[in-house]
Amino acid sequence: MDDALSKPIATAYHAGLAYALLRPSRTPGGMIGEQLGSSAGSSVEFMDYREYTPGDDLRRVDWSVYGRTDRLVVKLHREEVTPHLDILVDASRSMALTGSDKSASSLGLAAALSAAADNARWSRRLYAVGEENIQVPGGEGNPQGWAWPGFDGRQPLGLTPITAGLKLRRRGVRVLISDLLFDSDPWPIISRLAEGASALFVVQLLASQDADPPWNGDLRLVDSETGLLREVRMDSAARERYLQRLQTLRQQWSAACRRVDGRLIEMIAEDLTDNWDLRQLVECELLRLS
Amino acid sequence: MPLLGVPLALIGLVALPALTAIYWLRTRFRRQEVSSLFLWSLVAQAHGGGRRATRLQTPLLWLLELLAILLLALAAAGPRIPRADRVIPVMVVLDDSFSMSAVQQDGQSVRDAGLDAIRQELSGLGPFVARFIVAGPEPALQEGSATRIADIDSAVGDWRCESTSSGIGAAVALAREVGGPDCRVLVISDHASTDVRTPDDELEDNQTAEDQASPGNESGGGGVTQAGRLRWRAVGEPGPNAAIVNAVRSTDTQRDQVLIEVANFSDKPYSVTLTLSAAAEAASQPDSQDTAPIGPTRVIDQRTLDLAAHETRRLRLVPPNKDEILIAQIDDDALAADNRVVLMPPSRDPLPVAVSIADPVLNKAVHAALQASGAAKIDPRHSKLSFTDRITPPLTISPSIGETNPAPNTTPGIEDGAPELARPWRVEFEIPQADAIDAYLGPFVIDYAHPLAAGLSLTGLVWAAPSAESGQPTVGRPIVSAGDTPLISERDLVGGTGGIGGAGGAKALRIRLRADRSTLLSSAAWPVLIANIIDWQRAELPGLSRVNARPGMPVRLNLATPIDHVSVTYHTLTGKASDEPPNRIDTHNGTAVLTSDRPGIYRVSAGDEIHRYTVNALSPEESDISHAVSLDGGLWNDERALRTDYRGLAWILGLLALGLLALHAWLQYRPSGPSPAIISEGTT
Repeated sequence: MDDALSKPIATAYHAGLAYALLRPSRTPGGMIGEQLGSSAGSSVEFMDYREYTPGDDLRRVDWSVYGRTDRLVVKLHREEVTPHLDILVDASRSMALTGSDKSASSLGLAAALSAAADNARWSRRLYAVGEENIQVPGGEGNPQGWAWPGFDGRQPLGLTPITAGLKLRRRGVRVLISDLLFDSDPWPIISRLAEGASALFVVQLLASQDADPPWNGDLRLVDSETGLLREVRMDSAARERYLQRLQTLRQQWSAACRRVDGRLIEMIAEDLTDNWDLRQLVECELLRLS
Repeated sequence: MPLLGVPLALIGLVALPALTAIYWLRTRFRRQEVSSLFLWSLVAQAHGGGRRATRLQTPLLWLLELLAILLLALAAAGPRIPRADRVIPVMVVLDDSFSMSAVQQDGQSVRDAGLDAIRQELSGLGPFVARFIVAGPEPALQEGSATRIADIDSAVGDWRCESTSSGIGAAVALAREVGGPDCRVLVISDHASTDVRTPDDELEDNQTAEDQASPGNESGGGGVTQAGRLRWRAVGEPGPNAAIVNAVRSTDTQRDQVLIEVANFSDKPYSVTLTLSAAAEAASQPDSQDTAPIGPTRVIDQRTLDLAAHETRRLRLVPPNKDEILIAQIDDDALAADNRVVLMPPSRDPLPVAVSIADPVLNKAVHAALQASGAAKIDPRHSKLSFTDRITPPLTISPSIGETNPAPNTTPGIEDGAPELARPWRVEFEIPQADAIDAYLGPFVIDYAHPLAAGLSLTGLVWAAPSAESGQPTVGRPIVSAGDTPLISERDLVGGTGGIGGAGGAKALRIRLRADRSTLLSSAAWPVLIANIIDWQRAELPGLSRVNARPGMPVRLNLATPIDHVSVTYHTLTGKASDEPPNRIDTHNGTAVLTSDRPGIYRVSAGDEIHRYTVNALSPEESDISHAVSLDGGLWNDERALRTDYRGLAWILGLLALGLLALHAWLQYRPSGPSPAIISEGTT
């Protein structure tokens, strides 16, 4: 991790320690752990009874009930799980836009979520998605040890299936951090991400210039990923058209997220790096104060 | 050809690059990296820009603004086009000096280059009618005119470039007088216009003279060309030239001498061969006009002159025969007109005089001065000039100065035995008594217009003359006076040697002098005075006053037999006869005045008399072609010409500019439609 990113990551991780991940309403699954799961397991906490069916473990038959009622019932207990958080960060070049804090804020947000996961004793993993999807080495550990491959993807998100090559934990909570500024239907991406997840959060992290272009006059715009040029005259009308399109994009993603009970969270990179205020994630029920 | 009334207004065209710069700066695209372009696909395109900052875009508004500025600047400059129905009068002044005959390095003469310049100037003028004035010593308006370029060669007439000077100023004045206020004047020369002044120039100079203390503050080259409606085309080419700039043959009665000056006008040494030839004067019949004036020649001297840069070499030669024609010739060079001179043998007959003076001192002084002059001999019987101390009675004086009517049939002052029509001139010394004189120290008032005053200086002399109370009554025109006391005076006698009666008769000169009380006889003024008297009288004798003249110098012919006119035939200096018919010159009182500007040999036929004289091209100023220039200056058009000959276009251009500005405003403020989605794409 280069120095330019390590400091905001450390700051964000420190800020994230004030939070813990909030368990979603749909109980997340995971490996056998110390938290109760949503299905029957082997914990000591009673959950329910049910009729005995052949094949059930005879050790779970409640013999006292059989003695009183002459019925064979099986005693069910809650399973004990360790919830998991998968953080997927867009590694395309647009996330390292020159003159913006998108790269620092995206990895910093990932670090803050990692801190919140650690506080909640969740396991976690970090993935870089985009032109090539990879699990970030060291992503389970301290953020300072993350071997982040860099924001080098020339290909916008979605051209490669977002989960391709990744072993996302089933029934885990998944968080996608991206600017979502690509011309693609969000549903294939959202549906793939939501498949097998207990909860999905999509954080649209925009630079302030993405959210509200400040320029005026004649501009030669250069696409940070493809290098394509476009010459525009920036005025109030152009700004209005741009914001309308951005709003339309957000609505498309928000609608896709709602179809899978997911949430779209809109954040500004520069605002985030100013004070690492994560209350917006609390309001979205991704975090809670620890 | 269109022209501009106020060319300075074209400075407004600097607004064109200024506007372009503004557009360029405004349309220069700032590079801005963005996360993605797809949100920008519906953003309005940049109307004023392109893909490359270095490539100037041409939006319509910019083009309209450029056109509007261009039209407004042109309108402010006052463009005008010639009126279709207007025939422009042009007066062409042609420098006739012989330097215009110089041959340039390309083999073309300056004259031909001048013709080319005329064609060039007139070809761009539209319909014209051109008249030509040959500017020699006197301007000569040519008869023909040219309305087409092809007519120019024939219309220039007598433009031969043989004069030794060019009065371009007078020619320009004549051109403006003949052409009127609407005419244009074109001057063809080989030098700049420093010698030409117009009344406007002089008026301007007078107005500014008080403010300009420096005498060297002259308007070099500007001059007349600033007055408007005058174009000055100098088509000369500087070059080396050697020339005979002076040639004089003495009129001494005893011996013949020739003075020749050869000059090198180049910046480098120049070697030239001078050949002096002699030829007998060809005999010719009075009726024959074609006889060559020069007989067979023989070389009598030939030498090579190595002249340094800008050196003038003076040679004195003594020809073997004083009755032959002398021809001096140097090698051919760029200017041929000044390479040859012809010197005719002057008349060397001494003037017979008589001296009858009682005063021994004065008598001796007169004889000495006569001998020193070399142009007189004592011959009382045939004398044409008499020096005497006898005063002619005043009553016999002719009425030329209005004193007294002459007595009929009186012949005062006639020496014994003199023929009736050959009465001698008289020089009468009025010698006062010693106790009746006044001595004058000056200042002496001398009439320098009189032939007797040539070279005469009386400064510092003591002149003893009869006192006002004792002297004879003074009559005639004073030539030398001391205050109101005439010392030398002239009056006419009835009859005389030089004229055929009337005003051309004999003269009587009265000199009031007491020799022993004066210093005149011991001064240089005395032989000068006597020599002037002899020359004055000789000039009244039959024949030519001079046989070797310079251009423009009058040659007077006194006829022995009175006739109404004389015929003058021209030959070149090489003796070649001219195709021109003989020139008829009327006589007046038995005298014909011949003035020739053209170098050559002139044969004058007056009845049975045949005379010849030469005019040589001796003009250092014209031979020096090292200062010839090639330039053009002055403007054809002034405010008057613009008004009369041209039609203004400013209002049309102004209307067009207004139309463009209206279109510009409409384009700028019209309701805008949807912008194209993509205007340009590429890769960085």
